[in-house]
Amino acid sequence: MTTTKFAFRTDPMSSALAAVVGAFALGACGGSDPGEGTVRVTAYGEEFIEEGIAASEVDDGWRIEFERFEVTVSGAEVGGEQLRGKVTVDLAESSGGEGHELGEMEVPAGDHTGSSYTVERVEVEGTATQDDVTKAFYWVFEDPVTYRECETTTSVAKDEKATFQITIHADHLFYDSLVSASPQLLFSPLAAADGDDDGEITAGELATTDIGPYDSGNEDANDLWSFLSALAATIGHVDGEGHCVAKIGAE
Amino acid sequence: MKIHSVLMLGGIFSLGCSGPKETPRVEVPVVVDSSGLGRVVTNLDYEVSLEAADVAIRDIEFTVSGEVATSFWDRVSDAVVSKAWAHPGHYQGGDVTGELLGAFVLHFEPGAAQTLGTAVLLEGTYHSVNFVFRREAAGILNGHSARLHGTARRDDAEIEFEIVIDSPEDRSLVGAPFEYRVDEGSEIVLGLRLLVQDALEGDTLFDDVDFLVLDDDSDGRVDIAPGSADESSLSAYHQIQRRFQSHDHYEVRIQN
Repeated sequence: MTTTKFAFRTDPMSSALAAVVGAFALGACGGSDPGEGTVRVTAYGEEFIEEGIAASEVDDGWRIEFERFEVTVSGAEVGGEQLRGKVTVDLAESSGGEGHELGEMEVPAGDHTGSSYTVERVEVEGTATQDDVTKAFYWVFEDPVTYRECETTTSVAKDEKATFQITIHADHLFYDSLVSASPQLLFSPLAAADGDDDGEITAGELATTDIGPYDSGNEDANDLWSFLSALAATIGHVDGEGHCVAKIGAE
Repeated sequence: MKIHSVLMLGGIFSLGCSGPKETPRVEVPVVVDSSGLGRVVTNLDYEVSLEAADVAIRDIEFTVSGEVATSFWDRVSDAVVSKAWAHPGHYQGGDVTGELLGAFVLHFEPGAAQTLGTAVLLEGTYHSVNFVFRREAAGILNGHSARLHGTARRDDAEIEFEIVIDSPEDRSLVGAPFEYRVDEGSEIVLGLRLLVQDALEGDTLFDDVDFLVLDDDSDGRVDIAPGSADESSLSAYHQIQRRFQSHDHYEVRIQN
């Protein structure tokens, strides 16, 4: 008989657990009005989008640059308050490391978790280069993706301003796996999908190309366009590396 | 978090709340169930019989959705266990409340019997199972993750096939169906099944594989393995590997 050992999987939540336990232990059962502060919501594509992905970062040595990386964001919610309307920003434009402001809202002072937002649309235009070969791409991902229960704490002090950053990870678009914790970053299979060799990799060409050795996990993504679309639903994060629960479709 | 930590947590919660109760743990034997190996017809009209399969895996997890339990502990468990983070490679699926840890080589073959061990599950309504593919250095797998043996027939042709699969290191399979309410005192046996045909969608492990084309020397035998120099064979390998590593082709079923 195999020896059994019981273990829960908790790493991402351990700090949240501590917060919950702390709240109960302190008997947090109401109190006086904490006042309000301001949350500034930004969207940031980091250096990968603003400056490009260096060849040294890509496992097969392609350099990837974005001329445009437009995201349309709606429904950013922090501390029970929601930013109204849809805002489109081009993350390829330099933001000096600050990200692009989407708006501000007043929220109760305190530590806020479980934030959420929706990426309504992503439009990506750029090039990838290896040696003397350059491939252009222009891809639009129309399916809204809601990111909720985001793994961050936004601390808002009374009459002060805090920032909630929606961080977009462009490198995910070039992963070779939908499930691996350490996927490779590849462009060659996408470049090879340029069937007419006109230098532009279209969605149509990707849709008629089998994913080959790429790992689609449980997704029914057998062609490169479906695979890329599934990856596009994973690019949203918060405050850098904070993860969220993603669901395709607006909520 | 180990189980003793969970129990300690219950103690902490009792400081501020009345009447938390420890969720009962249930020990359940787990066996290999070969009943999913039957004969199927693929989308290319091959009648395929998978006669035997050996699959190397480790660490079987049992998950609940988190919304069905009523105890205080169960209500707060959502804050404790993992979620479907929006990031490749991060844990997806329900809340893990049962496990059978260890490394196994599952041998699927009609008539064969294999007990994997005794899993420990918290009482609850279960929805899915996870495990991790691995490679087995010894025995029939000889460094691979799986070996599938069977025959494919179409018209008057019959082709014997042997398929070897290498899964990526630590490749998790998440969300194979396991729909059952486990209660204290449940006397059940769980059978882990490999399904040649996805019962929900009807697709088979061998859809899109044209065995006659792969048998280019017409000797009635096809070997499909990673790294083949033949484009058709490599394409067939990738298609089979993709389905083989999908939760569509596994489930856990109650045996009694």
